[in-house]
Amino acid sequence: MTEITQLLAAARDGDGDALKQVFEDIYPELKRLASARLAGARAGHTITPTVLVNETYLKLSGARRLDLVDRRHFFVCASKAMRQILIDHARKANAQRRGGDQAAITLTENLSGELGPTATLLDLNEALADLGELDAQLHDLVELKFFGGLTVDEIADLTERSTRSVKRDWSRARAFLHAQLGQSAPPP
Amino acid sequence: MSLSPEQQRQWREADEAFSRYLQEQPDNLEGWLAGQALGAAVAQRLKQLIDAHLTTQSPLDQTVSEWVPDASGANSALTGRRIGDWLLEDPIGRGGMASVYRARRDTDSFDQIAAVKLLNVGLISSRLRDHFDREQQILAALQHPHIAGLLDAGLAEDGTPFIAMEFVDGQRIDEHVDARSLGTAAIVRLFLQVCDAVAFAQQNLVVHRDLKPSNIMVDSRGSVRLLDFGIARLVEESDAEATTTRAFTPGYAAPEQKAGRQITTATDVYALGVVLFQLLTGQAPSQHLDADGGLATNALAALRRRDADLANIVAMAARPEPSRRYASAAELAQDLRLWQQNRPIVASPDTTLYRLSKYVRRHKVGVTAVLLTTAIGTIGIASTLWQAQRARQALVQANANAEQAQAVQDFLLEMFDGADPWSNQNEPLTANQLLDKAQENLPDRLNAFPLQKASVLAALADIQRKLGRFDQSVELAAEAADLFREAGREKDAVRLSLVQANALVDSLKLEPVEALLKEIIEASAEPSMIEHNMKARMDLARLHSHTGRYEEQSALIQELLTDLPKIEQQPKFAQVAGSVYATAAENYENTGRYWEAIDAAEQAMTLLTEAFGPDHPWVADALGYRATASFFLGEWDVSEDSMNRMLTILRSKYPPRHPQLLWGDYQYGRVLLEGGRYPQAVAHFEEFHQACADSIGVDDPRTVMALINLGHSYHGLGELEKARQTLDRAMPLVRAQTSPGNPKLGVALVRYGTLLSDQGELRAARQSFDDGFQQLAAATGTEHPQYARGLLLFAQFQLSQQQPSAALSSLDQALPVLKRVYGDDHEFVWVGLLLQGLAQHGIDPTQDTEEQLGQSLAALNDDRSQIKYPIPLQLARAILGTEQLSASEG
Repeated sequence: MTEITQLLAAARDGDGDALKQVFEDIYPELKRLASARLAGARAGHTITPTVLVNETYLKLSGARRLDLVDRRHFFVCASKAMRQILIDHARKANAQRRGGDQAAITLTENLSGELGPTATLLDLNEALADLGELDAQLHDLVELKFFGGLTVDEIADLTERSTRSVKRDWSRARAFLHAQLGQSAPPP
Repeated sequence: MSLSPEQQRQWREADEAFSRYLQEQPDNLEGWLAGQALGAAVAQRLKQLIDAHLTTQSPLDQTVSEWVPDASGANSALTGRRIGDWLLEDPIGRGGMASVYRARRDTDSFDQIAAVKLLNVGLISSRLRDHFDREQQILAALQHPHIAGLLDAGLAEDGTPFIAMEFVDGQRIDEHVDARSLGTAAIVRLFLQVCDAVAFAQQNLVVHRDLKPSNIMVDSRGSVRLLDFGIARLVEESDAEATTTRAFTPGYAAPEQKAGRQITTATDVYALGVVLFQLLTGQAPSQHLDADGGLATNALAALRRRDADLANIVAMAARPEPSRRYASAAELAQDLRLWQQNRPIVASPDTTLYRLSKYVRRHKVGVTAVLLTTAIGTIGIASTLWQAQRARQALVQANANAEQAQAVQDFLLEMFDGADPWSNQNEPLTANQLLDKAQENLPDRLNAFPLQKASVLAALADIQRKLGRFDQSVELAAEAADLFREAGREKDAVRLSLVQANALVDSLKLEPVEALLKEIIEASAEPSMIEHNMKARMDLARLHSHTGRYEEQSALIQELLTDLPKIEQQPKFAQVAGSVYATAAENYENTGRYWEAIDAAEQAMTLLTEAFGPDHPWVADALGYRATASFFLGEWDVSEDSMNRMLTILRSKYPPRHPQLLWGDYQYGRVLLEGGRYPQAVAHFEEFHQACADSIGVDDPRTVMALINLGHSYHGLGELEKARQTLDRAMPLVRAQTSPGNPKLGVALVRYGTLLSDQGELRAARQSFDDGFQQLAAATGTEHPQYARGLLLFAQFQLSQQQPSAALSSLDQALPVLKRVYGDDHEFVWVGLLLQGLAQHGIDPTQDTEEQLGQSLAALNDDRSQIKYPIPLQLARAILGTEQLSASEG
């Protein structure tokens, strides 16, 4: 048994520290994979969280089939790590430009109308922290879906909930974050 | 910008209200909001949530990769720069690979405005450069009034490629529709411009691949312009690259595009379909797609009520399978134009009845001809008669007795006379109204001509049955049969009696059916009627499965199989033989002969497909039997696949809530449940039970069985309280509805026993098990796999009661049956062996059970088994020392 599966087993038995250790183990591996891609000519288009997380999973679980609880723990940790890595990267890129514009995602993407308000990954991260204060479960869902790249069906499977209720929660989280981002962004 | 406690409270309250909004999906938003009685601040936040929810494009729907900052910096600093002849002004959009600026050309004598698109700095890899060049080539080839044209292209002095396109001063199409509150007809008119532009591109072998509202602009004169051929591609181009550059917009991208499969003109048709859906309903398509990527049935419900044809067109355009959509934008446009003219469209099932309702709408004056087309089929005249006048002539010519024909027709004409109050209504007549009217007036008008009357009644009976209006069908068929019989037309009488019997079965009126079928069998004893005779015996055989009389059923099937060669030379052989095999499959399934059931079902599918093509409802029946047989054999995946194929056929052939469709949905849920997919099973049965309760009533046996299975699904999910409440409601109903000795009751009782034991009510549990086995023994005998599987549950109960010896004897009884039916290497057998090992260990812990337990554990080492048999597996691991036993399992 590899170390990570032992840690996951300990986490399953309620050992909270083990889970922290799992995160610590996942982080460098995921970061190594992500950095290689972030350093590419155009980072954005080659970062696919699902692929990265899955590669990490295969590597660290030693290709063993983990049971459901272990897999859940794994993906939760990996999604957190993914968020951390991307946010760190955004901060660094921001600092390098010394106050220059962050690359912005338009809320209303159109080619011929007005440019809508803009939001960045760092704005999103703050809005997500707010969401976490309101509802920790929604916060984790966003991590799994948005940062971990898992689909609603996969999340439903993993968390043993119905697709419908995961979808509903995602609608809640999405609406809150969208509303927050729309509010916080300065007019262009 | 952490939230203050006050803000947190407001958001929390808004989120609660928003959850209710998601739950209730109110049609009237303003009214609903007013009814929520919220403080101003909370209401304001709730409004923000709802607005955000309804936004079709949120950056949150994008993948995180699109958020990652570009290290090379954004190029919004380009304002004021000159690129070629163009002076860049404001940025007007930024996509993943390019930025777009409004730009002005001032070197010419006239001022020209363009949208200049620049490939993002740092993006100039050769592959993306190719993309950009391609867009330029494609645009140059596409000169069309509704496609924003290419004005110029070139390289900036630093080598950045750019293209200048016509600048469209207007609004996105969805905003245009919203702002003007366009009605249905106006939306379709506008949308046809989009279709025409896409069709033009497709005729030039270009697929757009990224159609969405933000790429469809409407200028101030109401003229559409299609933008952004950025990821367009020539149809014949190799698609090898498509899998690596998955640029598309979720919500509008077709399933094959998301999956990286072949892109065709049908890919654009899908996007057009969901855009049209959005324009007509004001709802974002991404919220309304089902698992396959098609528009969910309930998403279309409101539109269907408004205009069923339009809903069918949208549904067909957005079907998940490319081959079942319109093949091109031109075909979609064609159907929309037919819709505009109130003519029959391609998208609907093209039944007589469908033509009928369409005809009434288009041509209220000549409405008689429509009903004639239904009556004529049976009188024997050619079918498509669109003008009342021509119908009359044809009818007169073809019929030897013109007087009789005239009587039929006069009756039909009179039905829609000016005195008719309906003709003053604005609402078009529905098919149902037409049929009711016909049924009401027929008797008096045609009494003089019994045969003609019988023919019309027969046609109406058939249509009513297909519409799911069974009571009306029974009545009509019975009357027609009597008339035929009186006229000495025994064969027609038998045929109509069969229609009557089928309608009775459909409406679950089982008691009168048996006598009726036996009458029919007797009346059709002559060799010339062998086909009807066999049909009646098949129906009787199916009836026996409703009532659990499997032995009588087996005997009938055997006879039928023996009789098959007698009709081998007849044209309908494949059809009859196919249904005999399908019925045989059902019987084998009921008697636990699952492998034989699969063989028979496959025979049936082959024959029926040959006779009717792959989409016929009878093929769906056979698929259904195949699916349930695989399901009993534990081949969940095969079963689910067959189920899905079956449901696809049934959904396309029957109206919602038709018994066949309900049966299909029920079976599908059972597969989810038995396959251990409890969350999905709960969701399915919650919805299905509600649908049954709404349509056929809470007391209908099918609704009750849905409730039972909902209870079992909750149980599987570990929600014991909910399971208990549900089953306490359902069990008395099952008892009241099933005759003693019904296997359904037996299985329900055994499972109820398991729940009671999980809740610690041991005596009641024991009682329920005993009752259940008694019922099962009476229904299927003790050698039936259902009985054996019940014993597995019982053995678990006995183990939990510290009665290992009793458990062992239950298992000794079950295992030989399970091995015989399922083979040695099967989930159920391994569970049996696992429990046997546990029981032996319980009797004598020193006994060597490690090998048996180890093997069973290894065989059951999949996720499904972990979910279905958590406790026995954990016990076994504990005995083998591979896992600590947690306190709660002791």
